[in-house]
Amino acid sequence: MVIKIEGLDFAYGAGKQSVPVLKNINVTIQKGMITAIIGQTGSGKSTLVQQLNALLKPTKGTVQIGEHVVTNKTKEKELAPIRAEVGMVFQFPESQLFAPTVLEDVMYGPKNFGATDEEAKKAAKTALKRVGFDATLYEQSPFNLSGGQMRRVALAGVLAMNPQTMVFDEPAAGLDPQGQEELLNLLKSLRDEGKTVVLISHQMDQVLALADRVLVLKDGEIAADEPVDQLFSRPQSWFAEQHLDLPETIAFQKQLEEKGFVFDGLCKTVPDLAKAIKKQLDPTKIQTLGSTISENGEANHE
Amino acid sequence: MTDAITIKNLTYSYPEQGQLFDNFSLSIQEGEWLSIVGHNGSGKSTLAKLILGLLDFDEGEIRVFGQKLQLETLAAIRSQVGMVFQNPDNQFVGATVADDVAFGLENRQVPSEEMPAMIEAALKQVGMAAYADREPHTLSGGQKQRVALASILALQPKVIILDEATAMLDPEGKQAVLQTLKQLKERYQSKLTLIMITHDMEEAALADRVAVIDDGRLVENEAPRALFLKGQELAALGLALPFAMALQKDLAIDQPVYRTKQELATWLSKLKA
Amino acid sequence: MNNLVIGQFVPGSGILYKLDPRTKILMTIAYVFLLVFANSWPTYLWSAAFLLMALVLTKQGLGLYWRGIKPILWLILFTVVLQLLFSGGTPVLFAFGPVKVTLPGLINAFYVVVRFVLIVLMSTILTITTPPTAIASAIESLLKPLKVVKVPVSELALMLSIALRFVPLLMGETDKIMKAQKSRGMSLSTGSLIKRAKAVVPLLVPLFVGALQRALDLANAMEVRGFESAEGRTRYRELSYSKADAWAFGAVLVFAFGFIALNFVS
Repeated sequence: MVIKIEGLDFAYGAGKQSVPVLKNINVTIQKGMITAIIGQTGSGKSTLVQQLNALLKPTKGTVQIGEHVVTNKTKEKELAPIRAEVGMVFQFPESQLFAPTVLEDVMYGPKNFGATDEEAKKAAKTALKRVGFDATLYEQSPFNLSGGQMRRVALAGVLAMNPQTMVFDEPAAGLDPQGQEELLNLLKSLRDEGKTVVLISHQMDQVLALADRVLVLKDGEIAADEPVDQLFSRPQSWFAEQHLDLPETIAFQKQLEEKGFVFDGLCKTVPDLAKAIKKQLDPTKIQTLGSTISENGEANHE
Repeated sequence: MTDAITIKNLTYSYPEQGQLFDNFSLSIQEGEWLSIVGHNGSGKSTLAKLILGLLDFDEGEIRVFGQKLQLETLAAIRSQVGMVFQNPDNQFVGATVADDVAFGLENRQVPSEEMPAMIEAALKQVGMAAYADREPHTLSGGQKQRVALASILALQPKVIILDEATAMLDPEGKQAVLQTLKQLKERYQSKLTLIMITHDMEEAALADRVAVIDDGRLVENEAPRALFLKGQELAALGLALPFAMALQKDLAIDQPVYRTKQELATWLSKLKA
Repeated sequence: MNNLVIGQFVPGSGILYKLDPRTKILMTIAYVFLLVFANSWPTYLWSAAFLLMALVLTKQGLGLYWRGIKPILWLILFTVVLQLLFSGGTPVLFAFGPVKVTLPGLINAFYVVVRFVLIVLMSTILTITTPPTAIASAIESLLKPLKVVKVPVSELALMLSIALRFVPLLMGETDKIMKAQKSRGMSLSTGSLIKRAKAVVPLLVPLFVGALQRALDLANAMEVRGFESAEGRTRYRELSYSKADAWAFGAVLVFAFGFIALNFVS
């Protein structure tokens, strides 16, 4: 399923008091990819993704979601089926939990979209298993769980609807490193089975590790829309203009390039970067001189 | 050197989930910058609440500048220890920035006419003086956390505890808060003790010492330079290495030492030359 | 939701902004009280003139007040229809079967609308020019005598100001949870009444749980900043009457005398 946004303007409110948020957006979200949306806080990222499942309707222009076309005239009734196809995980999604038990909460979505109790239960269990939720806690109240477990239940609540496209708004916020890694693996596995994933993130390392394509928003307009490698090949000064950081590996790579190192292409992970650096160093030096030079390095610093 | 905070043989159980701390001891020196790290649920935030008497412990003792924490000393101890919480929205009491800073002063019964100058001074220290009349919903998360810091600074505390104060912020907001903390430390030197609870290792590395807590036990307690050399042990505790240390590990350097990114880049270019 | 003007503070520089909030509250109460006794077009005209003066002194555009009236237009319309249909009297202007529209009914409807609009506008002026905290401390100050009979006035005022402070936050939260549940297929507009009532549960429970969590966090934050009791605290914003308040009270007195005189005449 492709999502195509054409000539989209969006403003909150109407008339003189309206506040324009998105301006002239033309974007296609490709099927089976992870598309990251990045930009400074207030650049319009959350507003943009809410167009993807018609929580907000365009002020001007169209959003085509699979077979559905949403304009500002589309009726509320026609929007429900879109939500079955595009799942939305909001920031801190654990705040949406409500049911007396974990299982019931996860079944809520599938049941709303017409699943029988049995089907919904099956979907819920599959989803909970997928996010690594402990099966002995299915009948627990979601409010007795730890923060990390609550996050899993909330994620499962959207996964259980089995939407073709899933949107995640800062899904890793507040998780510890282990929780973050599990989450990133989940997004990858969704993509690998052909789902379309849209990810809003402030963490550039996540974007680099996951995204196939990146949209950069600035003040409600698209500042870049390109494959991840192309984006992060842009100079540091461009990122500074967008008030964005570079991923750590790439920032470090650029720093070394200034000091005479030469890399072909981007090093996406720390091991890749280490390998590329090692190639340019005399291996005996690392081994034998490591300690002595390190002492110098430290002495310089002190 | 005197201890700012001494925790001795502390035992604490959650009301429902069972025992967290068993015979836990930790002391924090006056003027020190200590990071407390650990994965989610390791008990680090609970520890902060215990120090401020927001939770009652079962056994052991906590002393703040020698004064034993108990019901009678609670007010005196809270007047020396301030705390910034995780959620920027849930600690903003006043209707405007200035009113929020005023809240603590009003509790201390500071005369009205002395307040404006104190509020302005506190806001200046965190770079928020220009926002005195703003309402909280018009501020970013990072700005709100800086106001929270100002609210505490106005009370002239000797210790500030930050309980994952940057966890809900975007990178820009986080940098602004950390920058403010560095400036405060610079300004007050040994007169201010900072305790920063976090699971961000880059953040933890700013401290003089890092205490690692795992399921209520103190498993590491040393300077970042020494701690970050223990890659394997940290990974086992569910913690990530700071970037420069992770890279050194993958470079398979024989005897690595702690380096910041800047130091590592300089060192590598020397090695290449 | 953010378009609601009533109850919203809009920063500005008019003279009314400089008045003590207690003055403004008393002024509004006196005005509303008097309006109830308005009985003829001269008194309404006199009241409208006073309101207009207050409006001008806020130095805010009329558009702002129009936005304040707009959301309650349907309510006004409804009152008009009621008045028109059930006033009785003669002469009958026109009739559809048993339903008659009479001249007294028409006049009555007109007065009701004017009274309603005047009251709404006067309260809007109060809230537009007075920050919620100022209203809270003014109420506390005005109710101080009740402390004698053990009414916890300070606590109530603090609760009120904190509640006001959390309104925008809870509105944002409602919006977010609504959208999250809509994304999971929640529909509030279909089905039987019971079904609809049930459909609200996924909205209300998270809101309630979230508000409770906030309350607990806030209690901790207040405690560590030395809060023990609402009594015996000093005040950052001390209320004090100034010359402008004397003028305002004078203006209200002139209005009241004029009003009573006009009422007697007609």
